[in-house]
Amino acid sequence: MEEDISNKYSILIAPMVFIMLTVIGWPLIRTILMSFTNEGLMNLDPVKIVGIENYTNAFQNKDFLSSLKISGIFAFAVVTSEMILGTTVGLLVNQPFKGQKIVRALLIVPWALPTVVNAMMWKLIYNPEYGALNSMLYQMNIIPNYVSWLSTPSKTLGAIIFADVWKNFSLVSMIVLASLQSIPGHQIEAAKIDGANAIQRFRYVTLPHILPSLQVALVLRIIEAVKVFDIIYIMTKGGPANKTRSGTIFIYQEAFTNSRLGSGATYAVLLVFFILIIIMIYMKLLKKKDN
Amino acid sequence: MKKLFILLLLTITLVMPVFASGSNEKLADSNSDKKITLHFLGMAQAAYSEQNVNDMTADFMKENPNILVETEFVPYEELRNKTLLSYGSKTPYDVVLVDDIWFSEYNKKQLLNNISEKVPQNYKDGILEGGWNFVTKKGNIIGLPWFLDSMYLYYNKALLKKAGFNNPPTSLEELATMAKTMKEKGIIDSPIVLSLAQAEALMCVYSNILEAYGGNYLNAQGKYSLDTTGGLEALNYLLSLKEAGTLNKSSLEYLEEDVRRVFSNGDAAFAINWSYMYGLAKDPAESQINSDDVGIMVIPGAEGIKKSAAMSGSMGLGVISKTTNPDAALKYALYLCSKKVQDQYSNLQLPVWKDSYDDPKIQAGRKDLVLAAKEAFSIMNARPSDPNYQETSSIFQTYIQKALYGELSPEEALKDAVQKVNNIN
Repeated sequence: MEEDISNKYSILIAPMVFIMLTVIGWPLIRTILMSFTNEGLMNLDPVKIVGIENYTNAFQNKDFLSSLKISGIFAFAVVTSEMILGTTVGLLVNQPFKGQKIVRALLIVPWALPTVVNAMMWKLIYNPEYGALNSMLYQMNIIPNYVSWLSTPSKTLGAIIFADVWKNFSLVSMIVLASLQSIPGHQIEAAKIDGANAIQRFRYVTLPHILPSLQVALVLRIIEAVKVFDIIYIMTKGGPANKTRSGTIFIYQEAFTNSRLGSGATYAVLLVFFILIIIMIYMKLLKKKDN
Repeated sequence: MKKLFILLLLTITLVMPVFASGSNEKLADSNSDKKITLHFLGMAQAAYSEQNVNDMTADFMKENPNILVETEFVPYEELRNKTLLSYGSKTPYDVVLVDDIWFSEYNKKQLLNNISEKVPQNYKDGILEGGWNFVTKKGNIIGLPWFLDSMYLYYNKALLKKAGFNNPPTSLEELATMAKTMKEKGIIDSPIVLSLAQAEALMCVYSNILEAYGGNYLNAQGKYSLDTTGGLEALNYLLSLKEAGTLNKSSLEYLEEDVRRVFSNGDAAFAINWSYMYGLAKDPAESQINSDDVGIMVIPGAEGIKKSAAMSGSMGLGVISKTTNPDAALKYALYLCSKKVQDQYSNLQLPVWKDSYDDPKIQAGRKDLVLAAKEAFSIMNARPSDPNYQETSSIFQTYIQKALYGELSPEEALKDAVQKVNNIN
């Protein structure tokens, strides 16, 4: 009987597996194979297998390592900010107050915006001549002169991080909010009766409940943040002086601007491993904690 | 382990689609429909605008009812990549817009049809020599000149007058001095605005300054040698403007349209930009400065080296070698480049036809531009004709910016850039 059900499930899941293998499996295999060749975007010469040459070159390429560093900094800053801000906002909008439903609905807006629109919007906000941010900060006497947010190397990455956090923190908030709904009211009440203050209630009652959801959000956001492309490409294209060139932008330029698909594929494979390493470290930490 | 597998699958699902493209597929053999459909890839720009091109195309289709042309426009930064990527697909474009710096690369990749024998003689005789120069590779004509352009020095006559200057600068040094005076007198805080973002626009401005100093990208052996052949003087000049505070400090994130807006707002006394800005800066709907106050001239040379300088920023039309309708595609390209069409749409873009420059209708209201263009086209030089130009340019952009930001000295920046560029060439 159990075997019958299992067979039925296998049949039902087969189309999805087939589609995934076609859509993901083939490009993946093709990319890995390509990473061992000198294939160009429009090679007129026959493609040659170069073995691990692309990989050895990649590890010696300072520009690639620097772009990975930028991806790492971006991901760390963005994910940390989003987790803290998202959780805080999630807890706040869980409290009863007037207009709670409207605020909850508005919370979805930044996240629902396409990244391209968000990037264009922030590019306008940061505009050095007529951007709203300069105007606001200047009128509040916070800055003495208008600032070129996207062409000052020390500020550019921060400006992009801020724009990304603004868009994505609400995803974390919504996940936290959904998770908060599952906490039994009597547990909070019991903690209150036991004399636990707000911080203690959060630490010992709320956090353990929302932690699994936060972990999912964390993994998703790390993956998304490390492979950031669109927001940076639209706002700065990796400039000024490559100060915001992330790993994915580097890969895009290598493959499509420099027309070297083979080495571009190598960098893409390495980036996947980079993300996997981050996730494996995270999984190990979690496992340790569970034990 | 199971968890790890799911995570691996999830990661790959999210990351790989970024890269999963670029396979070379064969083109469908033929189009048996009676009605021919052509695909044109152009650029989203001010001149010729998308509306202009669509209007030209509509007129072409009226004259050729059996040809349907579908137009598509992308920003300049995407034009080359889109052309190359579409070439590998089943539906490449038939006619594409090509920047003069890409013709060598496209020729090496055999991307464009050789149309030497098919270009009518009146086109060969009537279009300016400079146009044929950049579309001819190894003796073969692989494109049609669509517009010839160069960057010019724009100046705000009213601001100059306010500072006590009756004439525009005659050299780059004088330009710097005038800007300094204007700043010191408090007339304008940042008198000069340039497009120095990490993009091809930076290379265009730099190339013009390089030309003004009589410099060259390459040495006599054809190797990149910008650090020893005048590149340093050009870079030092840009750096000196920045250090003197006369350069608009946002210039390092500006593209040409940003420069136009700043100049048209009256927030700069000098700007370097393409010819399209002339008409727009004089247009009251687009500009806040008085039409009569818009001055234009060929970029002045460096003192004692050159009188003036111009670097080509021209573009041409090419017929893709994979097109299944080469004759119809060429017909369309010839139509877009024809004298009749170019004269009709010459409002923002000067025609490529010699005779047009003597036409009073073309000169009307923009004699200064026509005179400047005549001079520029006679002295115009070109950026390197290099099949790896895109990567080369990208390296120079980065290092020039590093020098402008003070991260590297100009000497170090150019030395490192040249070394890197020579490694890939």
